[in-house]
Order: sequence, then structure tokens, then C-alpha cells
Amino acid sequence: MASAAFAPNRLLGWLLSFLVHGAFLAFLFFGVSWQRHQPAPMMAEIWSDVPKPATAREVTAQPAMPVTPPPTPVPTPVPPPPAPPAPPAPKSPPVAETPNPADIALKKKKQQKAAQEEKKRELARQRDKLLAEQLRQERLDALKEQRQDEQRRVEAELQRRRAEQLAQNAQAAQAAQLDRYKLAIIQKIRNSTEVPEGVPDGLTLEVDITILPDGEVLGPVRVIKSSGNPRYDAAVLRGIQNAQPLPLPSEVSLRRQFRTTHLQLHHEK
Amino acid sequence: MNITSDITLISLVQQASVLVQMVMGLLLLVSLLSWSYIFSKMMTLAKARRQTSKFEEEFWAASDIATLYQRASSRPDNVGALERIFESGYREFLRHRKSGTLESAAVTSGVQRAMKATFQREQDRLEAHLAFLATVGSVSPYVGLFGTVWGIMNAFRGLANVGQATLAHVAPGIAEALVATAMGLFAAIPAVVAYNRYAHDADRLASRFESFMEEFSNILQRQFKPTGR
Repeated sequence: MASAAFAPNRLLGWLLSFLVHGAFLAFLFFGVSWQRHQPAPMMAEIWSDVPKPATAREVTAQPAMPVTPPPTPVPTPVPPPPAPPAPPAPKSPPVAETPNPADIALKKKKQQKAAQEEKKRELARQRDKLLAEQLRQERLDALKEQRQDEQRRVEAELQRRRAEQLAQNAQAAQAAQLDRYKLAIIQKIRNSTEVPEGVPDGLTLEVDITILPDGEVLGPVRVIKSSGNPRYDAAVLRGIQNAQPLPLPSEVSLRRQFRTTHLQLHHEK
Repeated sequence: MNITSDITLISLVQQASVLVQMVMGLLLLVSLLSWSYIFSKMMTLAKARRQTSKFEEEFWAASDIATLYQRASSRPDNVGALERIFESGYREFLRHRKSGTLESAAVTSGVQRAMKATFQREQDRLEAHLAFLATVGSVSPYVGLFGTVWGIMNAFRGLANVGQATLAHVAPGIAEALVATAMGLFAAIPAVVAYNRYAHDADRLASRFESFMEEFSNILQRQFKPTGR
């Protein structure tokens, strides 16, 4: 009685157990990346204005050029074929005017000869035609290839331009973010700086600081360009020490750029 | 950082020493078994809860206990735990009545004993395999730790032959060994959670059974009086 009620549950339990383990293993295999990749540094070439006008001209010029060439090769090979058939036509009528029976055999021979020549000429003409056709085809192919090449070049150019644009955008975004964080740092320093009385407006102090990942300033602050007012300089240096920890971006890649930071501190009321 | 770059899960298991591999295999087996118990127990307990609620409802709504008894005894395979307790108690009561026992206390205590016996059997069934889950929960971390200690010992022994020891020499061995601990924890955590949960569930069901037994023996005692008179 008891075993009858329990058996299906046990079976289902085993099944689900295997399912859980399978799912967990699958997660371990595919969900967790066991390799550690260092993000590759991004390289960007910055082009100010050289490629843009060139590609623009090419883009507009290319469609016009390939459209005109295809009709020209078609008429040129056509004229040669009509020339050969003209000569045999006038020869046959004079032969037909002589009713002499003795001449019949000769005539027949002549006719046969004419027919043979005709055949030969026909063959020659066909050969010419074939050759012409082949030539035309080759020229068309060459043209087509040329056009494809040009198209490919245009596409490559466009793609490169797009990539450049993207890179530029990314750089601009990063620069904007860097500026924002820099501004936050300067703001914090300014907030913790007590500027003594009697310091004139418009002073600018330039310093280089080394910031640890936790926002602490490492070692002494290097003054790059003094403001000219030693009291202001001292106040700002004190302010930098008081402002620790300095605000840093949470992204590691951005934070690395703040290892050594150049700051311009401007004094105004 | 680059030391660990070529480590994958498979290589971690493959490169481990035989003893560590055995520990891993054992833990995998234990984990499979404990998960199978977790699921089957979950279904069994859910079914028991459902059947108990249903029978309680039926019992308190029924006007005639005798029909309930007939139904319960007619299909013994398909009744819940509480229904079986009820059935055994009522059967005992009928037997007493048939034999003409007039003493109320004797009948009641007999009925209670019969129900108690069934109750214990049912409780045993509800709590079956819970001990296994408890054992897995408490022991498998130690088993995993044993594998890890063994693996790390090997890693350091290998270090003895190397003149200049760097972290690169021991790190893979330690990583391999730690897989055993991870597996032990993976087996233990669900088992502990399930054990606590199911023990609580089984306790609640048992207390429901007990209160029902008390109430039912009261009812039987009241029924007994008029017939005994």
C-alpha cells in the first residue's frame, strides 16, 4: 500500500534531480566564463576632414559613370557581320542565264563549287560572329568587374567612414565622461578648500596628483604652475588633502585614466 | 591573473588526483540522491497536506460518520494519512461495540491506542528520508573539505621539488582541490534547507493529526454513551 503510493514520486524525484544537476552543469559550462579577458585597448585614428569630401565626391560620381558605358559596346560589334554576305549574292544570277545542255555539267560543278564556297564563307562568317560575340562578352565582363570593384571600394570607404564616426563618438563620450568626473573632483576639492581672506580673484593653480583606486591621493601633490599667491597655493594643497577620498568613476577602465590627473584650480568668488 | 586563464571546469576535474576525484564522484552521487529525495518528499508532503485538508473538511461537514468510514475502508489505497487514522479508530470503536463493551473509558482508551498506532506509522512515513537529508547537509561539506585538503597537500608536495616556488606552481592544484569543497557545499546547502523545511512541514501535519485524534475520540465517546445506556 505504502510503496504503491510512493513509487511514482520517487521516480519523478530522480528525474527532477537529474534535471537540476544537468541544468546546473549547463550553467557552469555556458553561463560562467572561466577565461579572464583583459579588455583590449581601443585604437582610433582621428581624421579631421580629409576623407569626408573625397568619399562624398566618389559616391556621387560612381553611379553616373557606370551607367553610360554599357550601351557603347553593343553597337560596335554589330557592323562587321553584314559585310561578308554581300559578295556572293551577285555571282549566282549570271550563271543561271546560260541554257546550254553541255554546260549543265560544268554549271552543276560550278554550282557545287559556289555552294561549297558559300558554305565556307558561311562558316567564316559564323566564326567571325562567334569571335565578335566572344569579344563583346569579354569586354562586358571586364566592365562588369570594374563596376563591381568600384562598388566594393565605395562600400569599403563608407564602412571605414562609419567606423571612424563610431570611434570618434566613443572617444567624445569618454572624454565627456572624463571631464564630468574631473569636474566632480575639482568641485570636491573646492568645497573643502578654505580660501583665506585677501586672496585676489582670477588665480589659477595647476597641479598633478596621483590618485589611488580608493580615492586617496598618493604622495605629495606636484605643483605644475603656481598661482603666484603662496597663501592660495597652500590653501588648495590643504584642501586636496582634506577632500580625500576623491570621487572616482566606478568603471575600471575610466578609473585607470585618473591614476595621474592634471587639475586646474581657478579661484573666483 | 593570467595563471588561471587556461583553467576550465573539465580540466579542473580531470587533473585532480584520484582520491579527490573519488570524493567528487561521491559528492555528486550524494547530491543526486538528496535532490531526488527533496523532490519526492516535496510531492509527498504536498499530497499529504492536500488530503488532510480535504478529509478534515469532509469530516466536519459530514452528518454521518459511518458512511465516511465505509468509504475509507472500501478504497484503502487511495486515502490520506488522516483518513487512515480515522479508519483505524472507528474500526476499533465498532469492534468494541460489537463485543458489547459497555465501559466508556475502556472503549475510549482502546480507540485512542489504535489511532496512536496508525498515527505513528503515518508520522514515520512523513519523516522518512529526512534523516538522510540532515546527514547530507551536515557531512558533505566535511567530505568536500577532506578532498580539498588532500588536493592542497598534493599541490604543496609538488612544490617541494621546485627550486623557486611561485604562486603559479600551486594555484592550479589549489583550484582543483577547491572544486571538491564547492561540490560539498552544493550538495549540503539544498539538503539543509530542505531538511528544515520538511521537518517543519511534517511537524505541522503531525500536530494536525493529533488534534484531530483528540477531537475524534471525544466525538466517539459522546456517541458511545447513548448506545451504552
